[in-house]
Amino acid sequence: MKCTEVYLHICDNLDRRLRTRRCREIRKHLRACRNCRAYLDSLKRTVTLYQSVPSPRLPKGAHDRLFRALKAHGCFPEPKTRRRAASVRRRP
Amino acid sequence: MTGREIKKLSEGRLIAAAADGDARAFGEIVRRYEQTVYRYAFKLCRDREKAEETFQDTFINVYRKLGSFDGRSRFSTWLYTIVTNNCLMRHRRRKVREIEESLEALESPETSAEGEFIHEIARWDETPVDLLLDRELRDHIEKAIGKLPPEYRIVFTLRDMEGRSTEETARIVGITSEAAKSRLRRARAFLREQLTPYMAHPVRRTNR
Repeated sequence: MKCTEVYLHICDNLDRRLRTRRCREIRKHLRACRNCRAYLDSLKRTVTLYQSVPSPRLPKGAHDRLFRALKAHGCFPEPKTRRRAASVRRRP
Repeated sequence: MTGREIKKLSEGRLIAAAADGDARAFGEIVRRYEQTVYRYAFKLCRDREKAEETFQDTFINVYRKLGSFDGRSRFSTWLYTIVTNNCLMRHRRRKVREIEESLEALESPETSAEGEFIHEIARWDETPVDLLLDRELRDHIEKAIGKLPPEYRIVFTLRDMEGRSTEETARIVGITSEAAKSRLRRARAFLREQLTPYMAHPVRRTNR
């Protein structure tokens, strides 16, 4: 198996221990090829790094603004809210 | 049904009740999925205001189309599809062609006629935990993912950040599994390239 073939398939199976013939060949190639090992390792770290960036929670008031927007679109009666929400931020 | 009973309803019964016009059931659907929808919208839009607009559009569409949800796919798959379409509609108004050309070039590292990599692939040094918290690196990561065209960012987000399978990702985006794999491969290669200056030579960064 060549590096190009490994490149095409390791991405699909970054961490999975598949037992197919192709996966056995990939593992065999990886044991012998320092470049492909380095590439696979850096891909795994890439994914880990991107996963480590936190994504924000729903902003305060967004839930109430949603129900106001739904009502403005004739979708939904406005629910009772615990506090007065900001007005609907937008909608054409 | 009381509010407490609605909270205990299974997903299927909740959807059926909401589709029949039960406003509290729809409210419970929103409560269960609003964080997921907002976070996914933010990962695609990379902007809080656009994410909230997509979040609103998504639940308006859910309300209007709930009756047509046939249960053949998982509800979350259907929901992801609506968020994705809303996000794509926003992005189609902008041109994003330039970066796609550079993604084509990342199909694979340069190889010889025999299919071996020509250049040595730089090894990445160990990633200390505090590096993950480094503000500069985080900003760099945010910018890099923002550079990805939405078609690639969506596949990367669904597969690597939301943990969806290749098949489900393909269904959500409306492409074949092979196309989903190809986009994922290019997206990862692009993001890897963006990080290589940091990861292959981390010593340089300590001098700032």
